[in-house]
Formats: sequence, C-alpha cells, structure tokens
Amino acid sequence: MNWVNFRARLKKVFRSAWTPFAAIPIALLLGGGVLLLAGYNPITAYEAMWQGAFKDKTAFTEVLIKATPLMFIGAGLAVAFKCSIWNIGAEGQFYAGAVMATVVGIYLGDLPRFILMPLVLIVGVIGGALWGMIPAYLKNRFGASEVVTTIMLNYVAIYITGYLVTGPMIETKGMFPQTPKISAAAWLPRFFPPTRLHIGFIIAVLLAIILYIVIFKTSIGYTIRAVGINPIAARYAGINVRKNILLAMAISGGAAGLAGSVEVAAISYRLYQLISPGFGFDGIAVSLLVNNNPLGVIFSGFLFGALRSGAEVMMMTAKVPSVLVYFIQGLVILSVVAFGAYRATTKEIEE
Amino acid sequence: MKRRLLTLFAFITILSLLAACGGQQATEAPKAEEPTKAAEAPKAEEPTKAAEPAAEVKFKAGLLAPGPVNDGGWNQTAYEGLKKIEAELGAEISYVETEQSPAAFEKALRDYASQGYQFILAHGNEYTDAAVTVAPDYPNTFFFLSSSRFFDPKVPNVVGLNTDSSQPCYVFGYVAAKMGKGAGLIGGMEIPPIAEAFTGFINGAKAVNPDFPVKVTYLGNWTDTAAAKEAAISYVDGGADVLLGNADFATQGVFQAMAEKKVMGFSMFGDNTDKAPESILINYLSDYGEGLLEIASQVKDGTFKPTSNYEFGLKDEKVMWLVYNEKAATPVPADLRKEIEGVIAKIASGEINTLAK
Repeated sequence: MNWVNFRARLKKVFRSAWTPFAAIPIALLLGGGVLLLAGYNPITAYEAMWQGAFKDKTAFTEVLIKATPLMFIGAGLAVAFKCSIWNIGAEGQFYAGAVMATVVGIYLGDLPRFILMPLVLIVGVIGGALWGMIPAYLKNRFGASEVVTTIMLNYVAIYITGYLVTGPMIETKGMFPQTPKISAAAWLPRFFPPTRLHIGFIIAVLLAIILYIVIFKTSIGYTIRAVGINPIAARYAGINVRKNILLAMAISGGAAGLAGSVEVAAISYRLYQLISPGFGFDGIAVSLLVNNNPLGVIFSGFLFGALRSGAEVMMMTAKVPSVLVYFIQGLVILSVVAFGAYRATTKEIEE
Repeated sequence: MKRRLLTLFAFITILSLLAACGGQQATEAPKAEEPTKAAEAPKAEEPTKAAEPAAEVKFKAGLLAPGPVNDGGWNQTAYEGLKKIEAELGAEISYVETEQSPAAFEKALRDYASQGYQFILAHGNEYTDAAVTVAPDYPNTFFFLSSSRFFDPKVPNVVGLNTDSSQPCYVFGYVAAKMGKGAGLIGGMEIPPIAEAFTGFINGAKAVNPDFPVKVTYLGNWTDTAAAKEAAISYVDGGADVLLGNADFATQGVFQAMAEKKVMGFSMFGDNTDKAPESILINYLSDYGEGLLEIASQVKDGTFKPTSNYEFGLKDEKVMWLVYNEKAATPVPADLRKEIEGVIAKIASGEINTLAK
C-alpha cells in the first residue's frame, strides 16, 4: 500500500469527520480542570451529565426533544451559510413561526384534525420564511448587511410576541402573559407515551436529509453554493444572485419557523413571552460544528441536546453551580468555533 | 508540524476520554442502579428492601429557578429559603436553573420527583402547566409554585404560594408621595406579581395625594441593566425624584441611576443599601424562606394537608418587613415613621386593600 497516499487520505477523512468532534472532548477536558479548581469532582459532574442524557428511555427521548428545534434551525442555517448569508436571525424566525402556529391553532381550532395539524406547521414555515425574506430583500435592494438586520429583527419578533401575549392574545383569565392553549386537534402526536417524544423529531430528521439532497445533489443547491463561494463569479456565470439569496433566506427562515410551530404544537401548546431559550443562536453553532452540512446537523443537534439535557442534571445531582455549567457549555461552543477556524486556515494553506 | 502536534493531541484526548468513559461505566453501574431500585422497591421487592429505605427516607427539597440564584433578588430569595430548609430540617437540597423554555420545565420536575424529592419549589408561575401535568404521577411529592394563587382539589399536591408585594409597595408609594415630587417605576415584565406591586405603590401614593405623578414602564426582560438605567434616568429627567425597580437582576440599573442622579428610591426583596447608600430610603426585606420552612417542616412530618393556596403579607412579620436606611441623604422623618406604623397595621388587619382598583 502507498503509505503516503494512505496517510493523506486518512488525514482527509480525519479532518472532515473527526476534527469538529474532537473539539468537544477537549472542551470537556478543560472544563474538568476548571471544575477541579473550583472544588468539584469532574468525574462525578460528567457522570451526572451522562446520566442526565442517557440514563433511561425518558432521559434519552428528552435529549431528542431538545435536539429537535436545533436540528430544524441548524439544517436551515446550513443552507444560508452555504450561500454565505450570515443569518443570525433564526431566533426571530422561530418566534415568527411560533406566533403563526399559535394564531392558527387558536382561532381556527374548529377545523378537523387532518387539516389543522398540517396547517399549523405550514403557517409556521410561511411565518419564518417571510420573516427571513425581509433581510434578504433589504440586502438585495439596499445592500444592508444581513448580520445587522437579522439581529434587529430578532428583537422585533420577540417584542411582537411579548405584545401579543400580554395584550390581544392573553388567555381568557387574563392573569398571566400567555395565550390560551391551542386546539387539541392541532397537537402533534407523541410516540410511546408517557415520554414526550413527538413526530416533530422525525420531521426534523427528514428535513435535514431533504436539505442535504437539495444543497449537494440538485442544481438549485449548486447555484446557492456557487453564490456562496463567489457572488460576482456566479453572476458572470449567469446565476441570479438576488434570487438565490432570497431563496436561501426563505429556506433557512422557513426551517426556523417550522421549529417554532413544532415547539408550540408538540410541547408547550401555547405561546409565552420567552418561548425560546436561544435556540436560534445555538442553531448557529450546531450548523458550524459540522461545516454547514445539513446531514451532519442531525448529529450535532443531538450532541447539543445531550449537552443541554445533561447540564441540567449536572446542576441537580452533582450540585455544580449553574455558572460553571454554562461556562463548560460555552467552552464547548468556543472550541468548536476555534476548530472550525483552524480547519478553514489549514485548508487555505493547502489549496 | 504544529498541525500534526495538534492532531496528535486531539487523538490522545479522544482516546483518554474513551478510556475514562469505559472505566467510569464499570464503577458507575452499581451507583446508577441504586436510586431506581430504591424508588421501585416499595412496588417490586416489598418484603426485603421496602423496609430499609422507608426507615430512613431522606427529606429532599429541590428548586427550579428561572435565573441565577445569586441575582440579589427573586431567585436568591428562593435559594436562601432552600438553604434554610437544609440547615433547619437537615434536608438534602438541590437547585437547577431551568432553560426558559416550557420544554425544559416538565423534565426538570420529573427528574426531581423521580429521585424521591418530597418538596419541589418551582419558582414562578410559568411552571404551572408543567407541575399540573407531572403532579398526578408523583402523589408523594408536593409541588409548590411561587407567585401563584393556584389551588385545585383535583391536583392537591400542587400548591401556589404568593408573597403580596403590593403591601410593602403601598408603603413605598405612601412615603414617595409624602417626600417626593414624582415617581418612576421600572418593572421587568408585565406579569401579575410585578403589576400588583406597582398597583400597591400607586394606591399608596394616591392615598396621600391623588394627583401624585407615577409613571410605569416594563423592560420586557429581567436582565437588561442598561435599559433599566436609561429608563430610570429618563424618568428623573422628566421630573421624578423617587425610583423603584422591580425587575430582578435588571434592577441593578435602577440602583445605578439612583446613585448617579442622587434621587430617592426603594429596594425590594433584599438589602441593597450599599448599591445606592444615599438614595435608598427603605428596604423591603422578605424572608420567603421562613414561609417555605414552615411548609417544608409540615411536609417532612407528613402533616401537610393543604386546603387552599398560601398568601404571605405584612401580617406575616417573619416573612415580610421593612427596614429604614438611616444613612440616606434624607432619611424618612420620625413623624412619618409613626404614620407608617399605623398604615402597616391597617394593611395587616385588612382594613386597607392595597390592590384596590
């Protein structure tokens, strides 16, 4: 066997598949050191973390539940990032989807189940897609940086939600800032109750696979990627750059909106002021972790879900203070980004 | 070369971690089984094992907090209560800062209940849905909801606990109208506990002077200290000389504004005199822990049989009281303090309804 060739190939495989995942153990190792310095036993802490995510069927399904919105958002963001559109607005698009789903779930609650359930999801997609297309339009029309406009639109969406749940859509008792429950006909079915695993998880996996195919196996995906690599060259090649930017943002916003509607229809059944704990931002790391490959998002989304789930139990049973737990989660995200940057620079050098 | 070193480093870490995991699993296994066995014991292996754990059931109290427990406000009151339960009742305590997502609430509640926690405090009304869903599966656990008036005989192990902040705030409003020209109130979110506190303030102020200007704003979150400070300063610039923040962590911004603009103010849920030593006239201190402790000791003894939700007010002197700041630039004058004593007595007796509309 040609040793040099083999080594090069091994290196290539290693770099594309394993480098991002090496970031996690390194971060956990560093985090372990910090735990030790703070006077906590890292083994006990990580053991609690592991237990929290994989102890039994319930724990495991909770990981999948936490991973579901991250998979939706991550897969959508992967498309935008492949187009070099830096959509930081998935959080707002998530809210837009959640709001749309709640509106339909409450005000059209009399519709039969087989119409209402898909409708709730579809309007979620539409809400998120439209919310995502606003910055795309602003970029195309005025050259406004989508990084800025998407972040600003996050707040707009969050405050609109706050207005709706404290004002026009507040539950009839009028006590707390939340809407009434959506019609039971809109609730997504759950697998093996009493666990809360719902059909949204399957939809998320399917969406990731579909977006992978779209991006890497179709001409639509090819043009999106071409625009991402070099918009000027793409334009010279006869590609409509603006259309592709609009499309990439619609896909990415639609996926985040779907995440929002699934969260309402499968878990919370109603809208709150703060319905997302920052899924839209976690989604960015989920996508970057696997080099913006929608298929990889299934794994990185799962990983983040497990981290989040485990972190809670780490607080509960290992009694590690929340600040330290967040510190470790932050370390993981930082090292993922650092490894991503490292990979990007080495690639450049080689090419 | 550097790259190769890094790759090697990565490999080694993965390997060592895998090795560590493998080793861990072996030692982990017996530990992991214990709690589940203990929990299932009464059902499955009654004759042998049930007797043992029943004899020395450890009293366990858990807390679900929506934010950091060292926030000097809302969450800290609950955590300190938990510490009190640990100290006085010898309970095993634990807290978790839940993600602000309804998806996370149910799991955290189940995690505690399934580990045999008898006392779980969910520190906020937002946990109601999750508690009501989970409670029937764990009849031996009591789920308490803070700032809630929930009680439903169908789920008797979910009990709302409310601290009526409108009562001390009535006193604040009373003092503000006596000593100041106008007041600015900065709230976190427009939810009943905050809105009710402000209603109390306004009622207190109107009792002195029906035309006393009181302005209210809500930040829409609990963390944005900068926004809280800006809001407070804009009120001062608009003529207010009394400030009150009720926005959990973000209240820090209101204290900064008080100190910077040298206006009067009040503090809630803790002694914050050091943050604006010349400005703060009165600290409203609450020891939610005293209330929790009383309930927890009943839960521990098995004598806790709730028939309604719990409402704490100025009548519960151990739970809620006011402390004057003597070092303020303009301390509350003695004759006014006398007057306030009368007001407090009337509130405690129910003669004054601080929540009147």
